[in-house]
Amino acid sequence: MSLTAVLQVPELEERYRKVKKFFFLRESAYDVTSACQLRCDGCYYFAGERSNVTDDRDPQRWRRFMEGEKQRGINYVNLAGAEPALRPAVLRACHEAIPLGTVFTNGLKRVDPAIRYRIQVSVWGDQTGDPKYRRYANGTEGPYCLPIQLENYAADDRVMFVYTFNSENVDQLDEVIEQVQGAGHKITFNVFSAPEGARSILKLRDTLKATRDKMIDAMERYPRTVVYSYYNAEVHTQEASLRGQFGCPYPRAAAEDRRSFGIGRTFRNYRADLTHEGASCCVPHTDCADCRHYAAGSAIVTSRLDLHTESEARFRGWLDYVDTYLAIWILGYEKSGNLYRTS
Amino acid sequence: MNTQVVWEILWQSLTGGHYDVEALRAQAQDDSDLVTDLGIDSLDLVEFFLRLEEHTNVKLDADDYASLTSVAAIAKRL
Repeated sequence: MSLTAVLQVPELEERYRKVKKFFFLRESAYDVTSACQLRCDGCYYFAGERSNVTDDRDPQRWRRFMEGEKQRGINYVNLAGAEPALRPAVLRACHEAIPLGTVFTNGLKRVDPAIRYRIQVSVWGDQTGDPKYRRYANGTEGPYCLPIQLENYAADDRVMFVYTFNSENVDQLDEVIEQVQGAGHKITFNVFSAPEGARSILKLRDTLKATRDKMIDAMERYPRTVVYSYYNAEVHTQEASLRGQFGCPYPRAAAEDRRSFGIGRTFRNYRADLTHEGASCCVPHTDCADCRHYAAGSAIVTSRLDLHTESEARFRGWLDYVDTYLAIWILGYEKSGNLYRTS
Repeated sequence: MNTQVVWEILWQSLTGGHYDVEALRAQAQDDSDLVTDLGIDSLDLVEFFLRLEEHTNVKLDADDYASLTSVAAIAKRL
């Protein structure tokens, strides 16, 4: 098929016009601080050397830095860390310069409500799993974060909960989703992707299909709570990684493949001292062969419009995927009904 | 391939996006860099390349995209 052919279908043409308005997004990622209350099993931030920095805490320097990013063409910021909520003045400075973005947080400290970024709150399991995976910095068992998150962000429209599936916690979603729904919030899904060289037990082995089935069951039982699509569930639970299915446009992979297009030219991942490596990706030190990251997918799958015009079904899946990613990342963007259904 | 045809396909691809197409038409040259001079986003470029493929019946590999930086380069490639 061709793009022109699939756009002859009115509902597809309409959805394409909806998502096309957001093709302007140009993002980079920023570690706001190396500090965190927790040391979570499988945390990307504390794998490798990224945490071995002296944080720049000066909000005026951050403001100037972000103005420079704007000049470079960046209009969407991914603020992570370790735990960015621990640096409220830096978050304010970023927001004053570039108002579109996301803060990735464990939710134990509320981000100032005046900062109108999307707030993505991580969930690792239910009351049995969460404290097991999320320890305090001194190594003792951590808190069950969800009740604290729900209290901190009660009636806060910025929030998107992100449940990361691992090899052990598939069924723990049940307790979590009841509480998220009860609080009137929304939730989406991530799939644990092992850091390079890690032998974490969280790495999915035989649980990909069970994870997919759980995702779809949750979508169908909680349609107003779950922000996801059948195509998301399919691509994030394949045996092949995202890069294995679609290639990868991030600078880290683009450098290896010797091609640089789109996000491969502009994306940078900055450390908390405002320096960056040449070859970045959205979650550094991830083992590419295991990468099923929801954040990575937002670029990897979205950028392969060319692969998804081969059939109407694939184009439907791509439209749902982009619609889902925009609903996760853009405050105020509402996801429409799914156009593609798993057969 | 004729550069005028390439330009028309490009303007068609940008319709519905956030561009001031008339302003771009006024400043665009055959050797203008599509990204750094005209500010075209990568997904809009992918749509443009797909429409070029349809028009010319020439398949462009995603690996080709990085080298197709101007209308002049594209016309020469096609």
